[in-house]
Amino acid sequence: MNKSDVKIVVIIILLAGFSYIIFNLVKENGNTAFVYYEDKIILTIDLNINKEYVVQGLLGDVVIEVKDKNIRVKEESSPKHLCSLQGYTDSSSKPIICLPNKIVIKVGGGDDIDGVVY
Amino acid sequence: MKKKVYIIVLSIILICLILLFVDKNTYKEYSKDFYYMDTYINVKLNSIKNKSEVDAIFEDIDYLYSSYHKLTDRYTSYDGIINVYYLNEVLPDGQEVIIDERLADIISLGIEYYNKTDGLFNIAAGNLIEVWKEFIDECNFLPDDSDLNVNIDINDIILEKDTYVKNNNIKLDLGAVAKGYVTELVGNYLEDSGIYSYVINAGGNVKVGKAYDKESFVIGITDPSNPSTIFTKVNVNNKSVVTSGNYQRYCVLDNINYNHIINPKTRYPVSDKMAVTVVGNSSTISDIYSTYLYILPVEDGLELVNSNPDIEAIWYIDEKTIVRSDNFNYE
Repeated sequence: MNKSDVKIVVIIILLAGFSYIIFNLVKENGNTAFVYYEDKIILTIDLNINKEYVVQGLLGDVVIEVKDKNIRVKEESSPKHLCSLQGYTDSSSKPIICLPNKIVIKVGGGDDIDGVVY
Repeated sequence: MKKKVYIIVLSIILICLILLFVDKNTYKEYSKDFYYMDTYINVKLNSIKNKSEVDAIFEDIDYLYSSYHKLTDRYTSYDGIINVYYLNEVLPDGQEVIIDERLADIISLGIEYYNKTDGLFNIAAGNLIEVWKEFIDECNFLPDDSDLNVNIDINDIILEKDTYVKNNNIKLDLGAVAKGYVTELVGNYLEDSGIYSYVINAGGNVKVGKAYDKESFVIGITDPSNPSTIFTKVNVNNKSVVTSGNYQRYCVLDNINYNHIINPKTRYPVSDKMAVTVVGNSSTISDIYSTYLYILPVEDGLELVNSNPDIEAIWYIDEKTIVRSDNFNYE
């Protein structure tokens, strides 16, 4: 191996390292929300686009609204409407939980909190 | 030129091999949700175990929560299971029945803490909790003294080993201990399986192991005045954090907040504070203490916690008043 070969090897290793880091950063940036029914993902939502979505819960339609990178349940049918009363979230440690409808909405990554007590 | 291409290809293969090797030996994060005890439960763990090993562990956790859910459920009966519903609604007064050892353990723990808390932690308050639950659900007619004059005398429960007898239509309610108790079992089970870095969040009843890639786990405590935010964070390893508060299940009538935690002495909901959060070593004890400290006046609770080296607490009385125990230095 001469000098230029060593250079190429170093450059490739650096490139690989950088793309690995960038890939991980992009993955964790918290701009995606996942909608679960029981524990299966039924919808992935881009939080950069303000939009409404409708998914099927156990008791009927659940209307999800994205606004300014925040997400909430706008309407659902349940006895106490706890999950629509919960309001907006933008944090992975504050999932929106619609227990009677078996729907959970979680924001991916981008948070330094491991859990919340309430 | 040919040599260069050869070196490039070789180094790419090398990198792939290194990444593959690194990936196999690093911790991976696993997460699973469960729905039991009226609660969304999330278990997150870091382990070098592979997916099928962790899936088997998740299955055992599912079994633990589901079997304790059935045993402690007071609203539903299950085929072939003698549970709280059976003891409350089916078993006639004065007649004895052999109950599951696991249920007997929780009941005897409840009786032990009734004595340790001068009767403020009362698992025999089922009749009273029922009256208030109905009121909170409907939120129109306040119960009067005769409605509240129901039997909550824990001496009407007799438990000798696994033999259970009740008198005077006494009713159990294990809601203030069951979730904490099973969560403790699940944490112990994870540690026995060689998993030390975990976060179990059972509806705000949080138990954590030891964080592996940072100093500690960070747990947020919900702001009772604005429940979509937190008012503080705690940094913890190998601890259980449990909150009792008045902002989850409640009804406001004539500007008074009636919440679901009832003082068995006054027979009314507690109203002098918005929330208490307990940090302790065991999820069972933290769960029991969060209810006990919620009922106790703040000064008494503070004295109690300051004299107990195993427990620290933070009281959110109102927006302006937050009280911490002497060694509450998790922030």
